[in-house]
Amino acid sequence: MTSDTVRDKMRLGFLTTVQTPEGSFVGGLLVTNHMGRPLEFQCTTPIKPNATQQILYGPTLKPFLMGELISKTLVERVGIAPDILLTEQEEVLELRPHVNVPVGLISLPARVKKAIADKSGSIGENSVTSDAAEASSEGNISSPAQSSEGAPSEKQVRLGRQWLRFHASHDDDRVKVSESSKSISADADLLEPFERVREALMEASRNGAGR
Amino acid sequence: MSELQSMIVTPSPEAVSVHPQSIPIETSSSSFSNWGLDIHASGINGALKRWPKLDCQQLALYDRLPLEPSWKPYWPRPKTFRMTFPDGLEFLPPPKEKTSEPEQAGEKPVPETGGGDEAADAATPRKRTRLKPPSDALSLEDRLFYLLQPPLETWLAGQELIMPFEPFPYQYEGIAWLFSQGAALLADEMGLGKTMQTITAIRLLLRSGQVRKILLICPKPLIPNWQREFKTWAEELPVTLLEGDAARRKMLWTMPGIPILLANYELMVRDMEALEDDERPKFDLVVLDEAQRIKNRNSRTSETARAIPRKRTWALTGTPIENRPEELASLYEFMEVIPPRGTPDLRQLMKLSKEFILRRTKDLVMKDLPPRLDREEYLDLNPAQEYAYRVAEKEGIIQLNELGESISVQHVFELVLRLKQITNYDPLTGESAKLDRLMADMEEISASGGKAILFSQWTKTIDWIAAKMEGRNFGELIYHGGVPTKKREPILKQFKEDPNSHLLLMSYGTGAVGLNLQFAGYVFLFDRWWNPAVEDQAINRAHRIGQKTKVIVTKFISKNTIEERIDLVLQQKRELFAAVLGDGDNTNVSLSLNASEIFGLFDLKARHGKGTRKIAPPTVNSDAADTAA
Repeated sequence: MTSDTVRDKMRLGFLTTVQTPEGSFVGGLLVTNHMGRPLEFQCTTPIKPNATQQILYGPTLKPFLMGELISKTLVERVGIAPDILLTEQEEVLELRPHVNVPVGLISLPARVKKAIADKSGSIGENSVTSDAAEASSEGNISSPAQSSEGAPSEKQVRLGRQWLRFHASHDDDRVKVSESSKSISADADLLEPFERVREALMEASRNGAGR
Repeated sequence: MSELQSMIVTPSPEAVSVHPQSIPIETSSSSFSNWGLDIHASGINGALKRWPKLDCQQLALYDRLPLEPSWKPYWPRPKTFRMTFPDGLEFLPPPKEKTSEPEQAGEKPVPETGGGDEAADAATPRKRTRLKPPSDALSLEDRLFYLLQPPLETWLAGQELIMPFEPFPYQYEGIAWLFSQGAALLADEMGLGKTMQTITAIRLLLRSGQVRKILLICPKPLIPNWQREFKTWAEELPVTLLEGDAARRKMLWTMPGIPILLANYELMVRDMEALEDDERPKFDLVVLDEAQRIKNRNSRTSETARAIPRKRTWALTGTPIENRPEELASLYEFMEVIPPRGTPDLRQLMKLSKEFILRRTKDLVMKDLPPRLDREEYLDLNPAQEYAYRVAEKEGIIQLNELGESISVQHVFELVLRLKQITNYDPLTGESAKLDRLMADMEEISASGGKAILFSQWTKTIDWIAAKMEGRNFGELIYHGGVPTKKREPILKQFKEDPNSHLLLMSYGTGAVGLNLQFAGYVFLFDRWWNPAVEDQAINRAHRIGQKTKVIVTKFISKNTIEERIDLVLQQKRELFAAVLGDGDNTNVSLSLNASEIFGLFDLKARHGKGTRKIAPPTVNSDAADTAA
């Protein structure tokens, strides 16, 4: 297989953030080839909002931190640019107006979403990576019918074994992704790489890379 | 300074000055009643007795309302840690007509969604084997390299790396372990797929850019086996065989761009010794198959293997210890986990084993492997055989006794060999109880379309059996040290594919190690080897992964002969080792007869040595081990 052929395939960016037990947020971006083989990884230092910020940002704090501040920084500094950014966090979808890459939110069944939010959205002593993996595994076959978003929507696109939806202000992302999604195997589990990112963030946190 | 402060302290030039007396201040004090000031009884604030000097300024009104304190949303830009992954080697895909061609991604069946979810859910959960960082990976970058690799199941089930068969879970674990290890001794019991695990780990290392130049050394008879297994498990990987004259081999050693060089031990020793130190190529990975070959750390093979420049070292063997724990030290020295000439004690060896050895037994991991049924056939010698045997035994013992003090193990050993040959067949009349029994069994096996492997110590016996079977339609094939190497692979292929070929006659030396003959359901041990571990290796050619049916092993033992006595001694030793080491692992020790036991076969006492010298042929890994006589 020539390198040209390989480049014709999609590069995927798996973007997620986690909250540490101390209340800080860290983000990770894993860029892989269309097979899920890693090409580049980036993570941020922890960002901890102070009390004023928490009060003044209110409910917009998380979307701002996770989407605009952390994710945007990661995307701007990435060396190997992905063709699509994938996330499992609604807040990260807010990144889209700030970057020129389609951002797809993986639709999860409500129970899986809850499991991930409850258990895997944080790193620390009681790491629940395996639980999250289990949850991810359950989500492998997520479909619009199962998702919390209700009935199948025309605005969703299937990529691998998952369904994606896009930012309201960038509806054309759906068309762009549909056109280039052929290079992704229908069997591909797009939730699994997030497990790797979370584990790497945990390792980086243990090593103090983020301090 | 704020705008408000400057208004008080600094008089504005445009300000209009007025006398303080003109300011109407009310006070409660009598002295300052005109001013209206409140003076405390303590009398402080004497300055108040003085007339203050006051200025007034006229200021313009603000045109907008100032807000204090001001707050601006400032967030420092997060710092980032970034790492990239090395480019892996890309290889040409296998030819399209091959059945292993990957399906196009878009053409793959899409799992059912919606109503079929529950069924799919049940099928979906599966174990994921993740790579773990090696214990010596200290930097964050090194550790993240392993953590961020996809699970092996995903990696290998992907469209990039096609696997002809789904590996077993323990094989995934073995692959992940090898991938992460800089020094590794894979010591799985025979038949558990060491070759496949090694090839797959090599494939992943090459594809992820971790290694680019690999040397794989194996016994010469196993070269075709490795080539075949590479073709099966990693068809896209180019494997270059070290062969040809010295000039060509030197070119192959030093030529860049050869990802995998496959060499046999003999050529490795010869060529490495011929190369100058600065000519010796450096490898990213050196793999030694049947690594028990270097158990003697002083041998040329060991010393030469240790001198090969390399970054990673893997050793493969089903029998890491054949005789003594010290043999393991030689392997560890090769793996560079102990210093040169290091002599770790038993406790240290055990500690090293935990980190550097991965060993699984069939009992532990292959619970679904069809059973192996051993039956020992005790046969009476035919009359002519019986006569020849008794005469030879009687004369032999007399001769041994006549030797007096000059008797040696070798003398006894020669007699044992002579008697064992007669139990196979009488050289004068050609009578053979074993052959008669074999013929009867083979009639049944060939009639049912089965396939059998027969092992003997002697190439001459094998040729003799083949001659006797002519015209019986067993389709017998010969595979021993006397068969040229180039002709061996077609023989195995014919045995596998030809439905009329029911019997493969093999020598222990050539056929016992490394071959995959799991399509054969019957194994005959025509005569017995000195070490049951070697017999097990031979039997495991058939009783291994991929075997669909039970394997029936028939061991011929001639009654009231030396064979029965040897079998008894070996059986006792096997039981002893099983008691010491546990039932699950009795193949990594030598059960060979020592000198005392050989003498004991004829009620003779060892007159020389300490009685522990091994007198069996030293190895069964080469053609040289076949006994031609």
